[in-house]
Amino acid sequence: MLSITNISKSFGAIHALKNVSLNLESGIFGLLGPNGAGKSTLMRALATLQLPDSGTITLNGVDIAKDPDVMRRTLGYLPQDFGVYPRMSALALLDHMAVLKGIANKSDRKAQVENLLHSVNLWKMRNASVANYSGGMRQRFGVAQALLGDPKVLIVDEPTAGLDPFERQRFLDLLSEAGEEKTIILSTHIVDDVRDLCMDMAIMGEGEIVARGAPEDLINKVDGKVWRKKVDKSGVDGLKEKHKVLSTRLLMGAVIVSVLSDKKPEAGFEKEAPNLEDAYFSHLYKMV
Amino acid sequence: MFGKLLKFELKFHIKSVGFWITFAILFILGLVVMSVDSFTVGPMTGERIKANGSVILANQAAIFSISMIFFAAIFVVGGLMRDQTHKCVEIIHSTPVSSLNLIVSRMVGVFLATFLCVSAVQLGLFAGQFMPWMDKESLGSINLVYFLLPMLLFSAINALMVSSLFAFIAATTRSRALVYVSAVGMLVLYVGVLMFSGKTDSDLIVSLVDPLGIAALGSTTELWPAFEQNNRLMPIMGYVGMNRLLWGGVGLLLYALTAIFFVRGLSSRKVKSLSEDDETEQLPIKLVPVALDHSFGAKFRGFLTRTKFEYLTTVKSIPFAVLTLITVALFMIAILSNLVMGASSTLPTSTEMINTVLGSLGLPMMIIIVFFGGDFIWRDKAAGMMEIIDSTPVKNISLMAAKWVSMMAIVLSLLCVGIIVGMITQMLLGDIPVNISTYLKSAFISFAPGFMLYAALAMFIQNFMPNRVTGMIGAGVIMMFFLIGIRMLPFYHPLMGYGHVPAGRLSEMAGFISLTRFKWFGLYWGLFAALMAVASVWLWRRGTQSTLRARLKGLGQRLSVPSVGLASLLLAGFVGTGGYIYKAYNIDEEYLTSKQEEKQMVRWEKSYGALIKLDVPKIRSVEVDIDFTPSERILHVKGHYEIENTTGKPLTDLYIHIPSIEDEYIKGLSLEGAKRIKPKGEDGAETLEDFGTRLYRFSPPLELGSRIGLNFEFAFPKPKLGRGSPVTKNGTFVSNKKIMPTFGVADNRLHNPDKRRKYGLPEREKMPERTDRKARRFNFFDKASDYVNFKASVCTEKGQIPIAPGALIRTYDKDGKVCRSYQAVRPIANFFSFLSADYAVKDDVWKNPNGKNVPLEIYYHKTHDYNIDLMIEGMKDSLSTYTEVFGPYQYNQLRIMEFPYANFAQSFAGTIPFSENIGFVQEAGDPDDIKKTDLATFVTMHEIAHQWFGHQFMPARTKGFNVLSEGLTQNAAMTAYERKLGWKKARRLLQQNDIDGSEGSYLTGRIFDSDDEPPLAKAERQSYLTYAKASWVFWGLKQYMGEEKMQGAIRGFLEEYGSKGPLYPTTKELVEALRAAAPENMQGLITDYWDRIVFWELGLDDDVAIRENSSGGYRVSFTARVDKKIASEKTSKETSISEIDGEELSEWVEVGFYKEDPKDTLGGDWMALERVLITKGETKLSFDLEEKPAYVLLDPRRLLIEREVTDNAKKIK
Repeated sequence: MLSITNISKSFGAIHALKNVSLNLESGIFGLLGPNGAGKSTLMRALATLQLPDSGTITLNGVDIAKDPDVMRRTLGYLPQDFGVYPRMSALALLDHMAVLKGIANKSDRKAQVENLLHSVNLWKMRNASVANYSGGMRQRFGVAQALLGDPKVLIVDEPTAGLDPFERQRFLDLLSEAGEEKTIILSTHIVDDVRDLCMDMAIMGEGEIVARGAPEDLINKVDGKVWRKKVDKSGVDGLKEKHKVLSTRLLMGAVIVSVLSDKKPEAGFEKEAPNLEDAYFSHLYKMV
Repeated sequence: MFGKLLKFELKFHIKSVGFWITFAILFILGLVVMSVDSFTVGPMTGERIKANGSVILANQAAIFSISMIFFAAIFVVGGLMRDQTHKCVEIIHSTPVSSLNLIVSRMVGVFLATFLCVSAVQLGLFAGQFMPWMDKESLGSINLVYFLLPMLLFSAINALMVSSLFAFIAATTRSRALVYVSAVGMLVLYVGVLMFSGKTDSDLIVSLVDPLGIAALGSTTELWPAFEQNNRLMPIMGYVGMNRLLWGGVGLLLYALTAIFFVRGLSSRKVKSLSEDDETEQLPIKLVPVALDHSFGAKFRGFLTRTKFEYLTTVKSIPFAVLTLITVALFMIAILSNLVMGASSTLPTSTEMINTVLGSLGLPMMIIIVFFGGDFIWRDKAAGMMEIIDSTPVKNISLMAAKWVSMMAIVLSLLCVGIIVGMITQMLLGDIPVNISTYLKSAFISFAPGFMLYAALAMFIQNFMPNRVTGMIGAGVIMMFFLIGIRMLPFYHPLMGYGHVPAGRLSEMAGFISLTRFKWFGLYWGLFAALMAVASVWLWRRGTQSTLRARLKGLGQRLSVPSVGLASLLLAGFVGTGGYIYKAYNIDEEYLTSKQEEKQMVRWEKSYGALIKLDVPKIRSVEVDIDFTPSERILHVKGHYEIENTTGKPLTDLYIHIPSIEDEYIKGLSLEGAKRIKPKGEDGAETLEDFGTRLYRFSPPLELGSRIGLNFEFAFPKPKLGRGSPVTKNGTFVSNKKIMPTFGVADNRLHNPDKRRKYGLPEREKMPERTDRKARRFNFFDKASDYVNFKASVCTEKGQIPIAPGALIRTYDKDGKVCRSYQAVRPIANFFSFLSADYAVKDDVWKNPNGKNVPLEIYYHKTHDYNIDLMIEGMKDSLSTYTEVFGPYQYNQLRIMEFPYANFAQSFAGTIPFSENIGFVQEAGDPDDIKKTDLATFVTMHEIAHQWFGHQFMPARTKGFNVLSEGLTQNAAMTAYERKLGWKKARRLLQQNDIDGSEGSYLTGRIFDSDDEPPLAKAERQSYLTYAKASWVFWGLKQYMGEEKMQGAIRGFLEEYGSKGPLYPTTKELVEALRAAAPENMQGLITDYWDRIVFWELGLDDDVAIRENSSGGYRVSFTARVDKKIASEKTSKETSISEIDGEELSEWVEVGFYKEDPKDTLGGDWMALERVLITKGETKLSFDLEEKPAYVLLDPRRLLIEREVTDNAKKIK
C-alpha cells in the first residue's frame, strides 16, 4: 500500500536518510530509533512536507512527490512538535481543519468533530482555547485533528515524548483503537511504545533502516545471546572494551550490564531472556 | 561582568543580518542624498544652499531619525525579548548574573546598535562628498563638526528616545506584536504631531512636542538665510537644546522604568495551562466514514473558510485593535489640524473630509501594510500549525488567496473606518450634508487601488524572504522606493511607477478629471499584481523545507497547465496594456522624462533662445468663436486677429506659437501677406515646429504701421490616454494662451541656476532693467499687444452657461447649442478666459454713489452656496473701497465663476474665474475671531483689486513687473479687508500670508529660493517678494508716511499710467511717486524697503523699569537695542550697518504699551503707541504714561522687516 523505495535526503553535509526502503500495509507500524536517526525526516517526507533528494514514495502505486494530493487526501499527521492558532477553541479549530481536509458537508463535519472530541476526551474542554491546553491534552487534540476525515494513513511523530506515564498510556490506547484498517506509522525513541502497540516495526539508526520485522521476530534473533551481570561502576569501562555491551542499567548502586554474545562472555554473566530493548540495541549497534 | 555582557550584546547585534542590511541601506541613502542631486531630503541644494552646510546636515540627521522607528523596534525585539522568542528564559534567567547587569547591558546594547545603525546616514553623507559625480559647486568647505554635532544631538538622543520607548513596551507587555504595533503607533502619532504643530503659532510648543527634534530645529533655523544655513552651527541652547534635554530625559526615564519593570524569569501573567481532566466517559473511537469532497466547490469552500479565518483572526487581534485606534486618533488629528485649528481652513464638505481623513493615512498605511503583510504570511509558521496545515489537501492557491484577500479586506476595512470617522465628524462639524457617493468614490477610486497594490507587493515580497523581519525590512524599503524614490529618478516613466494609479482628486463639480488614465494604469498594475499572485502560488512556502532555492527547484512540478495558461494570459495582458500605454504616451504623444525634458529645454535654448529677443507686431483686435462640447470634451476655436506692425521697421519674419495639438487638428492658420516657411531639419532632427512654433514670412515685408489679419481655427480633440483636454464635462476654464495663437517663440528656458550650470548654459538672463525703454514698450501680459478690442461668441451644450470677458451682448441658440456673445466695451488686455458649466447664478448690484451701478454675478456650482452672500458682500466692499481710494471701476459688470480642480483665482477684465477649492468652500471664520483669516473675502478682494492693478494699468515687462501687479493688488485688498474686518484681522492675515505663517510668506519663502534674492523693486517672479514682501512693505509704509499720502501716491501713479499703451510703468516710477509723497525723514526707509534687502533687529534689555512720575502718571524706562542688517543679493550674507562705512543708524521705531499680554492680539490693543528715532545700537528710552502699562513692545505693528521678535516684548515688573 505505502511503499518507500531507496529514498535519500541530506541537509548540507548531514545525511539524514540513506537509501531507505520500506513497504507498509495496514496496522500500526513502529519506527524506533534514537534522536537524530532520521525518523522525523522520513515522517515529513511521507507527509509530503519535504521531498527526498532521490528515491520514491508511492501510495497505492502513485508517486506522492509528483502528486502529493493523493497522500494529503488520505493522511492524518501529527507532527513531533506543533502549536495552534491563538484564541481558537478546539471545536473551532477542528472544524477549520475539517474543511481543509475536504469534509464539505456541514453536518458530517459537526458529527465527526464532536465524535472525535468525545473520543479524545476533550469534550468538556471543547470551547477552551487550545493554546492553553496542557501537554497531554494538546497531544490528544493532535490525534483528533489527525483523525479528521478518517484517514487511511496516519503518521504520528514522537507523540509520547514529554507525556507523563498516564497520559502516555491514554494516548497509546487511543492510537490502538484507531489502528484498524489504517496504516499507522508511529515514530518513537521509546522502546515501550513499540512493544505495547506494534505488530510490525523497523529500527532506524543514522539514516538507515537497520532492522525490520515483528517485535518478537527481532527479539528471537537475539534469543539465547543476551547475558547480564551486576558489576561495580568501575568495572563497566573494562567490559565495554572487551564485549558487545548492549546497555547498562543502574541498580541500587551497582550496574547491570547486558552483553550480546553467543557464549558466556565471562564469569558472572547469566543468560537471560531478551526483551525488545536488547533487540533494539543489538540491531542499532549492528551487532547482529 | 557588565563589560563582558555588553560586548556580547554588541556582538549579537552586529552579527545579525538585519543590522547590516539596515546599515547598508542608510549608508547608501546618505550617500545618494548627498551626491545625487535629484534625490533630496529637505530643500534643493546647490550653489546657494550647500549640500554639506550646517543646517542641511542637521536636518538630514533629524529627519533620518524617523527610520529608527522601524529598525529600533526590531533591535529591541532581538535584544530584549530574545529569551522569550527562543524559549530560553529559564536557562538564561537562572544564571547568577545580576538582573541589573542583564537588563542594563541589553538596553545599552540595543541603544548602541540603534545609534550605530542610524549613524550610517552621517557616514554616507560624509562619503557622498567624495563621490566622483558629486557636484563640486554645491559643496562648501568640509567641516567635520557639521556632521558630528547632529550625530550627537539627533542620532544619539533620538536613538535613546526611540529605543527606550520600545524597550519600555517590551518590558511591560512582553509582546513582540505590540512592540511592532507601537512602532506604527509612534510613526502615526509623529505624523499627527507634525500636522498639529504646523497649525500652532507657538514656536515653543512646536519645538517641545516633537520627540525627534525636527520641528525644534526648524523653528530655530527656518528663517536663516542661505549663508547662515551653510556656515552657522546650530545653537545648542534654545529650542533645540530644550527639546533634546526634554526627550533625552524621557529616554533615560523610560530606560530606567524598563529596568524597574523588567521581570526576571517567566511571566506570572501567562495563562495557566488547562489540565483538569475530563471525568466524562471516554467514547471509543469510532470514526464514521465521511465523504471527502475534493471538488472545486469544496476547494472554494476551503478558500472561504481560510479567508474568514485569516481576516477575523487579524481583526480580532490586539495589534489590529490598537492600530485602528491609533488610526482613528490620526484621523482626528488630521481633521483638527486641517479643519479646526489654524488661521484658515476649508469647510467640512464631503470631499474635504474624505481627503483630509484618508490623505493623512498615506505613510501610516504603508507601515500597517508592511506589518500585517508579515503577520499574514508568517501566521501559520509562527503559530506552529504549518506542518499540520501543509499536510492537508488544501490547495496552495486557497492558502495564498485567503491571505491576499484578507490583507485587501484589512486595507479596505481601515478605509471604511476612515469613511465612517469622516462622515460622523462631518455631521458634528456643521450642517453640510454628507454625500455618500463622494466618500465612496474618493475612498475606492482615489485611495484604495494604490493601497491595495502596495498590499499585494508587501505580500509578494514576504513570500520570498527567509523570515518575517527580513521580509518587513525588504517590503518597507521596496515600498518606500516606489512611493518616493522612483519618481525622483531622472528617467522615470509612469510605466515604472508601481502602485501609482492616478485618478486624481475628485471635484464636486466635475468629478474625476479623467478616469481613462486610472482605468489603464489600474489594469496595467492590476495585471502585474495578479502575476505576482500567480508567482506567489507557484512559489508558495509549503512544507518544512521551504527555502527559496528549494521552492525554485520544485517549481517545475507546480506549474500546472491552467496556472501557466493564466499566467501567460496575465503576462500578455500586462505587456499588452503596457504597450498600449507606451504607445499612447511615447508614440502618439511625446512623453518626456524629466531628464529628457531638461535636455530638450537646453537644446531649445541653444538653438532658438536668441529668437526670444525678436520683436513682434501687436494685436489690435481679437474676434473669436468658441464652441464647447462638454459631453465629448471637445472644443472648437475659430478666430481672427487684426495685427499692426509696430516693430519700428518693415517686418519679414513672424514666429507664431500655437497650441500643442497635432497638425490634423490645426484646421487653419493663415496670415495675410505671409507664407509658412517649413523648417528644413536634418533627417529626424528637431525643428522649431516640433516645439509648436511656426515661422511665417512676409513677402514683401510688412510695412511699418500697416495692418493685416490672422485667421485661425483649431479643433481640440477628445481626450485619450496620454492626452488631456482643456474641456471638462462640467466646469471648463480655458485662457487664450492655451487655445489661441501667440506671437514669438514661447520661452522654454531652464530657470534653476544649478541646472543651468550643470548643462553648461550661461547664467540665466534676468529680466530687462527698469530703465530699458525698449523693454518698457511691452506689458507683462503679452509682448504682442497693448489693449485690444475684443469680441467673442461662446457656445456650449444646453444646461451649461458659456462665459467670456466683456459685456454680454446677446444670448441665442445655434445648432441645438446655447450661445452667448460678449464684447469688451473698451479695449482690454489680451488675456481672456472662456468658461462653461452648469451654473447656479446669484445676481446683485453694487450701487455706485458716484457713477454707474455695477451688476454683480456669481456663477457657482449648485451645492457650493455656502459663501455666496459673503462673496457678494466682498465684491461690493471691494468696489466701494477701491473706487474711493484708487478711482473708478472701468467695466460695466463684475462676475465671478467657479471652476474645478485648481487652487487659484485669476482676474480677467470684469470676469474672475475662481476655483472651487478656495472661496466657495472656504471656512470664512467668525468675523470677530482675530485668530482666523477670511480667505473667501480676501481672495475675492484681491482678484477685484487686479481690475485696477493689472487691468487699469499694465506693468512693463521688466524687473519688478509683478510687484506692480500683485504687490499693489495686495495693498488694495488689505485696505479693503481691514476696512471690513478691522485692523486685528488684517494683522493676522499679514502674519499668515506675508510675514512667516505660510510657505509663500516672505521670511519662509526666501529660504527656499535656489536663486539670488533681489531687492523688492527688482523682483521678478518670486511670489515671496511680489505678493508677500510687497504687502508687508506697504503695510509698514502706510503707517510711516501716512495712509492717505501713500494711497494718494498710488492713485496718482494709476492715473498717470492707467489705460494707456506704451511706455508701460515700472516699480521705478512707483517708488518715485512714493518718494515724492513721503516726507524727507522717510526717504531712507523707502530705500530700505524697496531698493535693498534689509532686516531690522530690535530687542529690549531686561532693565525695564517703572515708577510714578510727578504728574500722577507713570514713567517707564528701558534700553532698546536696534540694529539693521543689509543682506547681500549674491550670497545672502548679512552685514550690520555699524560695519558699513558711510551708513548710519537712523530708524523710526514704534514703541507700544499694553495692559494685557500683546501676544494674543498680535499687538492689537495698545494703550499707548509712540514713535522714536533711534540712532544708536543701544538707546536708553523713557516714556510718561497716564496709566500703568503691563507690557512694552518694540515695533508692535510689525512695520519693520524683522525675523525674530520674541525679544521685542518685555513684561513690566
